[in-house]
Amino acid sequence: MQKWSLAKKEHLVWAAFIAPAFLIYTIIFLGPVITSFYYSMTNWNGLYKTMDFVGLRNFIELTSDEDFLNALRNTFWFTLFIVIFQNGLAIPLALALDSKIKTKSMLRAAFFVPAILSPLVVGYTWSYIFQPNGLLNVLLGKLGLTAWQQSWLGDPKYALYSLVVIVLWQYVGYSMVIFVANLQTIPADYYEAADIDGAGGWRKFTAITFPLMAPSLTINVVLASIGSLKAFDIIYVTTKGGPYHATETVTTLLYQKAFSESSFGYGTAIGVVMFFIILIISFLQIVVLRRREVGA
Amino acid sequence: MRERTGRQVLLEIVMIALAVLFIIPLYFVVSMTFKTPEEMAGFPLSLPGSLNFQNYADTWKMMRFPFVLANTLFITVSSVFVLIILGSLAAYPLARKTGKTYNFLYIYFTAGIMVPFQLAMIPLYRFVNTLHLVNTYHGAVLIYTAINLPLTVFLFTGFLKTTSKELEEAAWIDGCSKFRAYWVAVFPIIKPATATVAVLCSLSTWNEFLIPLLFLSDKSMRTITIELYTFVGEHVTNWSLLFPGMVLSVIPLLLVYLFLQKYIIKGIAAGSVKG
Repeated sequence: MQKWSLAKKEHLVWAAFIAPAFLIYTIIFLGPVITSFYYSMTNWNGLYKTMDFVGLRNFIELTSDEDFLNALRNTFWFTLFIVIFQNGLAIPLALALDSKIKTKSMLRAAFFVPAILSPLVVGYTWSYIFQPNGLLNVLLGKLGLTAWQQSWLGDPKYALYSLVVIVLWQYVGYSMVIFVANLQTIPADYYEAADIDGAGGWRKFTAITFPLMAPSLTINVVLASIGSLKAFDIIYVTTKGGPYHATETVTTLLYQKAFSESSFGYGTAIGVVMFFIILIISFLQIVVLRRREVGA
Repeated sequence: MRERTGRQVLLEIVMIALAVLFIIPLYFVVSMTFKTPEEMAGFPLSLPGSLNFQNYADTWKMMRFPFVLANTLFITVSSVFVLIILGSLAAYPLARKTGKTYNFLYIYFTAGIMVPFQLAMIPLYRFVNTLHLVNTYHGAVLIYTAINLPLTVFLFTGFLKTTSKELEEAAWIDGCSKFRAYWVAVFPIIKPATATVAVLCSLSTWNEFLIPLLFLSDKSMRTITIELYTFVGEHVTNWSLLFPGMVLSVIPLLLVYLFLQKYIIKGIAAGSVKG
């Protein structure tokens, strides 16, 4: 009996450790999220005090809402391009900057700088570079490539790709740093053994380096996916989803519906769909990539 | 051996060239801040004729720079401080104890990593408004703490699981309370995780845009990002004020980065590889 109450007392102490974080997190973050699930089933417009429960009507409406389907497509391509190119560029960069070159720490720092800037500053900088008479077009003109000059963010054909370039510039160094940290954990004897076996550089990469980079690849793919799916600031300050909805993603549409059109119920329904998309994608990626890690 | 060095030198030259190309946008913005209107109309990558700080002086005043800097600094430091204390306290039992409740709580906290803030945004705005916490420091600190707790708990729990219990158990035997033992025997040994949390959360809080746009929009409460955003809105074509505004908003972070570069990069790498 006494032992039981001692154990209970111990649990109470631990509860006191957890309680402050638990309360703040629940009241300020998770509570509103759960409330959102309820709002997504109403027609609340944010102005009136009244709202009607409409069940799944918002979600059914979403399946035939051309704006939403367009935003979903844009989000898909935006995320796919970023995940592929951010990792595809960061891996060679990490390999080069993990080698014995002298200036490697300076170079790493240079490639990492954009990652500490706010998306706001990055967005303004690139808006200016991508302007019709901006830096990029001036440079293309100097190189005699006037035919290549475009209104990079103003033309619906190019806007989404230009946005991808901006995000890659900002975060390729971030992925690189994570890859480098992983590379440094690979024991040098593996490479020495491969040297003795007469393996070439490419063979060493495919047989040793790449399989052993699996943990950082998992992290980088998941981080880049969640980051691009949630991306808002960079789009909001460069294109606001335009021109002609060419860069409208799920997040910008949600903001537009909720705050400009006051369709709070409908806007939160978009947020709920987005939550499930992120949940499913991260879960699938972690399962698939972790299996690869174990296999390696 | 000699051939190998030759290849390395070539690689080094290529990488330096790439890095220079990579940071051209930054050079471009900084060089523009010193240019006269005539120079601005010229070739964009040319060096400015002289180091003219007048643009900076004007922007400094118009952006109320010292004021918004102090505001941002205060909000960031307080939020990260609260996060580290509350997050590590909560993570401690979650890392040490087994049992259904603790497992559930761990998942409960870390699930938040996948929840987009936009999903909480609308009810949160309404709720914070009812409590009159919009445009207050404590409101902002509470919001930043709440949204960063999932990652913080995740990082601290992960790190604590790799540490040994011997020190704290010795402290219990010496008659320390659980809190006291935590403070003297646990908190000091989780410094690497604390550094990672401090780096990641300071960066995201300092650069946050949507949260201060919704909750700190009042003139007396603006952070650097919101002041810059408003400033750009007001002077949309006046690039001679905008470029210095951007550089000013970046300088504090850049200075911290220059001095703590090694720790920042290490912190980010450690935080992600542990996960």
